Amino acid sequence: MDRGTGGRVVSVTLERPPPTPPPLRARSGGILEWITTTDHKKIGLLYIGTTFLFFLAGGLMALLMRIELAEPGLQVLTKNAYNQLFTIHGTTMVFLFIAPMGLGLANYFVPLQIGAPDMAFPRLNALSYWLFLAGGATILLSFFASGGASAAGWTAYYPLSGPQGSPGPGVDLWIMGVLLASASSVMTAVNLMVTAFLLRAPGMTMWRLPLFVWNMIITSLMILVSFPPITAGLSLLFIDRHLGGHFFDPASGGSVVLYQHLFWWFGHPEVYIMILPFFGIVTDIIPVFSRKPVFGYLGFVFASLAIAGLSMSVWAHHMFTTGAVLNPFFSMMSFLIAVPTGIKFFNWIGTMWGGQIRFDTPMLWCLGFMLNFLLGGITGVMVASPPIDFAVHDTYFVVAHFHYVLAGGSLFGIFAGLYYWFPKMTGFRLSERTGKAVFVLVFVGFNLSFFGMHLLGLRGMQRRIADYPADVGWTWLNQIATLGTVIMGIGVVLFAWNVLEAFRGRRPAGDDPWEGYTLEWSTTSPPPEHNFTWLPPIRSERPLFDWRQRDKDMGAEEVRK
Amino acid sequence: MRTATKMFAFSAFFSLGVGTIYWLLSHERAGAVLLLFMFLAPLFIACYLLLRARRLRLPEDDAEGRPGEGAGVDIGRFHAASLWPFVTALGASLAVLGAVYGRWLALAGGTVMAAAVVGLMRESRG
Repeated sequence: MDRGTGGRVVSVTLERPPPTPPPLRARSGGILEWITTTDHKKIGLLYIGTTFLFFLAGGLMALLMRIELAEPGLQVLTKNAYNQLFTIHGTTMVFLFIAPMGLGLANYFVPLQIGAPDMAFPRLNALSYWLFLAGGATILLSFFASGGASAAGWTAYYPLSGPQGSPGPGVDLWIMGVLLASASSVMTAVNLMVTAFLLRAPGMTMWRLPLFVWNMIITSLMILVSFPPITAGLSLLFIDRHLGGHFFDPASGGSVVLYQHLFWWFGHPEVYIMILPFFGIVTDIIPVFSRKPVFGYLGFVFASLAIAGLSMSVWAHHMFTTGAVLNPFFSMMSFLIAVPTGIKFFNWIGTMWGGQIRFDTPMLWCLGFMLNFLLGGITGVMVASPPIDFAVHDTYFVVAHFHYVLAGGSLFGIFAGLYYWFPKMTGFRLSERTGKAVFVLVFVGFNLSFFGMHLLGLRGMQRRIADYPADVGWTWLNQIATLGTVIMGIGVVLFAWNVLEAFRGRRPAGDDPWEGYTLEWSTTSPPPEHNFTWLPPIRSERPLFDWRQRDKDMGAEEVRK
Repeated sequence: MRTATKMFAFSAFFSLGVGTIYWLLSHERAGAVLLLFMFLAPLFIACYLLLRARRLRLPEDDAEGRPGEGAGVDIGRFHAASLWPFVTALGASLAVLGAVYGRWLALAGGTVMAAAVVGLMRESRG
């Protein structure tokens, strides 16, 4: 590699191995270095750190809502404050935590997993991060705007989000924040795709890519197709609010259902944009901790492609009750998604079957992910049936369903990824004992929080209400949910302590603490500037395993001699 | 690049199939138009790849390729640091806040963005 020593431009050539090993840690500078960085690893860390802070903010909002709902009556929040909280909680978790956390992890690990020195467009990558931060800050700081933040729900349905329904600047700031975050996601998607297609190491054919990379390619494709319509929809909403437009105003010939089409065209694929990266992470982790190759590599990739295609064709199952969409079509397409999703469960179970499973912390999170996501998937099939959806639409049953998918699924996948890759990102080991305690607390807390919500929904409790009658039998289930949220919160705080303790304890992790299969484990922890000083030959989807096996075979040969 | 081309082509023709069935069954225009664009967008990329990258032989697509085979191939200019992405995002956020709070802010944001774009271009040339 030809590195400029004092200049700003570095011309990188694929020359491996270099004459001298690089320093273990990149030169550390001040805040200016972080502001001006174009290194994909630093940008990845910025994404991961920022999204985690947004997660803490969104979690605090959830805790406030659950405290309010622990008892009938209004105790700590006004109805308007409650509306603002559930709006910004949903927006934060969807736009500012889960989806960008997947992109942040991809930023760090896609180049490493394919043997590339950086992302294809480093400055575009930096711009994506700063736009994301600006979008997030705009959304969260809107609490301080006159009239407070948007209270129109994360879907911002018209006319609730229209000039009469929400006259203050809260909805405008929400629109602008989401537009900035969407632009950031589109740029990252382009960058990830080009990187994965054009910067792979020699020998890393498309059918040897780690499954996390494959899933990021598919996620990027979905971002490119689904984000432009929401950008258009929100721009039209802004025009309706301020520039005299009537796109969604039925009194002037507009259509509120058009807004719902534009929103859910983005909104439903967004669910898969939030889960596919973590399918990939889990599918990279399970083989390592089962000491086996992944079962059904090709099937997994085609199942991800099928999920992507089908998920773009089911948007209006969120609109069954409008009576304005073709319910049988969307119901059938939604049922079909269960097939490729089921294939993934076969992949995971088949990989573990007969393996020598190690129950280290990343593997525990993967198992938790599978259990929770399975339940979310089953209730997903239930609400894909219009008769059931008509009964439970806008009740806590739906709240339970999507939290089992996005919190029980994606959040557990995020923790799996963080525990798996933390040693690579920092060079330090997290305490296994504390990590297992975090898993138990979050798993128990999560299920206490959300399982009872299925029952609440079936008993008729509507979502988005700050108060409920005392005599309908909902109180004890709400109290259990609140207790579960507190336990989850303790788990998250313990995770933060786990991370801080690792930095304080500075236990060296080594380059390959898990005996991983993919290329990121062949470089130092943390990786040097431009990532690699050496790469093994790539002859399968687990090149590092092949290389270690070659060493063992050669050792056995020596012993025989 | 054949796998990438096939992936985009598959996406396009899947959308065409779904879109056609959807239109025939529902005659609903918003969804049909969205599905039409979901057909056209990946088709455009697939056609581009088919025409421009057909003859491209990348070492990474060689199943027997070794890491050293990429030696000496210039894969681009990587800027080790740049302030302009930060400034561009700052300008963009001021510009969108201007849409909410007043044209003066949008003007300031637009000016910052324009300056940042010039900075990015000059940096690329340098």
